[in-house]
Amino acid sequence: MMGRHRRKAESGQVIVIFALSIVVVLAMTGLALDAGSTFTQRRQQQNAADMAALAAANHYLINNDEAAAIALAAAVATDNGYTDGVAGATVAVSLDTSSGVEVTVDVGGQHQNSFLGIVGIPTWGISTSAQAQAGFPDTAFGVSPFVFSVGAFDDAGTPLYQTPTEFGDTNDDAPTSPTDFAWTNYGTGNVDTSEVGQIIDGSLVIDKEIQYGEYIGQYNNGNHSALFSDVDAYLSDLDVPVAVVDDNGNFMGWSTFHVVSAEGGSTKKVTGYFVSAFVSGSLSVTACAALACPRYLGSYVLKLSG
Amino acid sequence: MRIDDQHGQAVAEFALTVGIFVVLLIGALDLGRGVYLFNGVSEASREIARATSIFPGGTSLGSSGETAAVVATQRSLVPGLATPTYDCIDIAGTSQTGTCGGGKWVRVTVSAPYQPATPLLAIFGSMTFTSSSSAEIQ
Repeated sequence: MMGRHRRKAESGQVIVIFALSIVVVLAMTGLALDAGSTFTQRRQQQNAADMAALAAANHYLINNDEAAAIALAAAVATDNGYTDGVAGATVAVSLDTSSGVEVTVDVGGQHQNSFLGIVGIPTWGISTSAQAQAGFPDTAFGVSPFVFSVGAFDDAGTPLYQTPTEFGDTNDDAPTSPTDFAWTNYGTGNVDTSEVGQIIDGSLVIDKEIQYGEYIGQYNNGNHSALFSDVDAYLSDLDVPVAVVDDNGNFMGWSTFHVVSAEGGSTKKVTGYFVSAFVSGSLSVTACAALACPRYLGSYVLKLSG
Repeated sequence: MRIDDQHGQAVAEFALTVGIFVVLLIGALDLGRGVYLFNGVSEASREIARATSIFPGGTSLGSSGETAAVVATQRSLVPGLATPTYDCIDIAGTSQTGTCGGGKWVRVTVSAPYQPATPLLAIFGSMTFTSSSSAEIQ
């Protein structure tokens, strides 16, 4: 009899250990499954926030209506499963129209844990945020020290040269034909070869606001043969922002130019092509009052910014 | 004699049971760790790709402070997360040269080592979970 009691007691011991460890096992498995499901919900929430912000920024750019843009962001978030005040979700939309438009959408939610409730963690809070920008590009970093002719683009702003083309027809102050270009240091007066060289190799970065119609051509331009090898060495295979001027060297807008190669000596040509439409307007643009934006002249920007 | 016999039998049964039980227990914990790590690495690659697509970091892809902050967050969630690699590609996955800017894509690949604690699995050594995600540069 005693033996039976002891045996039962020991069998009971295993059950106790089993009971304790099943909690640990469930918690561990639960952590893995709940964490995976939380990661998934986080992505869905982030996607909802991204889409809502992009939709609202685009809507504002076209319609110039803050209230409608905010309402659209909330509607898109709802379409993607997150409505403010429903099922523990929060959706907050704000618009900053000081420069173009920047829409911030914060989506908060609760992940209902399936397993971790047994260890006292019934929910996990998830917060996601997205920012989208729309408007005209107003800043060009690493602008290159050459200017192209507005004649290289058609009336809609589409580049005429989208395959590798040689540029550099004449030695002039400003580009005088569609396949011409001229050096510039974005100032007036004689172009300084060493300064242009520094802009090419990156040791000098132009930080300047240039207004529409401002003269940025150069006097006594010359072909500056040595600069071609610098362009070949430092800018080959890069997309660089370039200024676009009229026949008199006045700033008309900008584009993005892909440099293939450059050769000095007796050739004096830069080979490349345009990779973006010609964007009219100054390099420093203030608020884009949506309907007044001359979109027909070129591209506008709609992108996630945070 | 019978009492002693039964006593010994119980201990032996207990020892056998505990051995198998502990292996099952550690196995279940390992499975949980593995699933967590697998999901964590996938999520890390997606989060890092999103941050890098918005803040590419200029000429050196993935060098922005925003990307570094996301990598730090993911490191705290996923033990042993290796330094991500960043590739500049087009939409078809072809490698691109030059600065990775608008219209191109970034592919982020991350990995983390997984060492199972279960004795039977541990003899196969460490495994590595790898995940990559691509996102269009904004």
